[in-house]
Amino acid sequence: MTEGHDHDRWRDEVAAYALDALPDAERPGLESHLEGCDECRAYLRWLRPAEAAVATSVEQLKPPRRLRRAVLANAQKADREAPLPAQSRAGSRWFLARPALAAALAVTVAAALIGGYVLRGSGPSTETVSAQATAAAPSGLQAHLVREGDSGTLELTGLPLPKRGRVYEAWVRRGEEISPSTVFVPDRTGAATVALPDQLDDADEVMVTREPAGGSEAPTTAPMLHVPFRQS
Amino acid sequence: MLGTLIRDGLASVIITTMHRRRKLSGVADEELMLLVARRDHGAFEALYDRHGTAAYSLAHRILGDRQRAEDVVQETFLSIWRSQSSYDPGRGSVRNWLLAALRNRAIDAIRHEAARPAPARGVDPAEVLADQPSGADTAVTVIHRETSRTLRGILGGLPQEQSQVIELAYFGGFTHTQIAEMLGAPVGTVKGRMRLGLEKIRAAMAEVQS
Repeated sequence: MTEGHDHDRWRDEVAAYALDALPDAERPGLESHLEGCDECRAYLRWLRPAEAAVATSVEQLKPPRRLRRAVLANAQKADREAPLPAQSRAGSRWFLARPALAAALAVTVAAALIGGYVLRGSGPSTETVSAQATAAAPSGLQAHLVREGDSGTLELTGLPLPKRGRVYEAWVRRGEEISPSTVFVPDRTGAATVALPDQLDDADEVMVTREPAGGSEAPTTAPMLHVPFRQS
Repeated sequence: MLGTLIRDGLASVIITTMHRRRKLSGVADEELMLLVARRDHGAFEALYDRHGTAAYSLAHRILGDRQRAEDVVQETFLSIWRSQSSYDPGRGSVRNWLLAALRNRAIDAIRHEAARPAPARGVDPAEVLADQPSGADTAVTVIHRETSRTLRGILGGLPQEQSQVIELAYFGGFTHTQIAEMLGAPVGTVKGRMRLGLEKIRAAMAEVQS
């Protein structure tokens, strides 16, 4: 366990790290420390908006029109020259891969259920857990979680698009600890399929809240949805 | 006949495009990123329209040159389109993530320039940053003025020795050891100034938001 005075020593390093001012030789040491130190990770998260403020503080210059044309033309050209298969695109991004994975899982589970059987056998067991809406939930919201082994997929319908600058965020609660999981928004029909890749085997419940764009490190609004797990 | 068909077809495309732009205007950035990942050109266009100005302004501040700023903005957005840059919600909003990605590219560009002089003891840091214009001297249309002005006010309120090390690190791309060498100050002092400066910015932001 790291002592309190060590955090003071590390905080100077964390600040330099936030500004990308650590020499390459010193980065692994700090990153290794950050992996095992909740306090320093929290301090880094707290500093991040200050770093972003430095970026946004510059005088705003109107870019030339040709830049917009070039940026959009580059995308068109990239499509013509190297169309990427959908699978490889999704696989390169964790944030975007999870909805894609979730959709694939949901389709697979739905196909299995329609076929009259449940995914079992050599793969992980699958169970469906109903969600409980709270008073903070929009009317018409329905949800359930398809749990497969340690991970799961939250499927929601009747979810309105969040207001501009807001998103929905799923959380995993283990006792007193609440961990952020996935930031998401529904599609036009109000449906969302949200992959939860976290270790759910020791979780007490999954929750959903409304959060500012980008998500939060801790819930800032009351949960609108609970998916309680029966601990085995 | 053909002319009428073409004219009507174009009108339809224009109306569809305008309708789609209106629809995308209310979409959260996070959802735009999902659409961009699916190769939605309208969403990509909306992403540029929302953040292109901030991206170009930051690139220009770092590189001090219009053409190089345009190049870095193009590279950054193309990387996003090709899904080579992955959005990490843990780093905050889409805008913050995009600007951080752009800043890394811009700093990489200047770090790899052979002509970039190595910082040496006795070099005036103000001259180093003066090579990278603040943008105030450029004839421009200023937008997002209030936000950037507020944040500039916060930075401007820092003690000079703190804002100096932050600007040298963030806009100059220098490490704390390089800055210490430039200033003739101990490395520990430079890191302490960075920390104090960032903490003051953070505290000032909280005051503004409250």
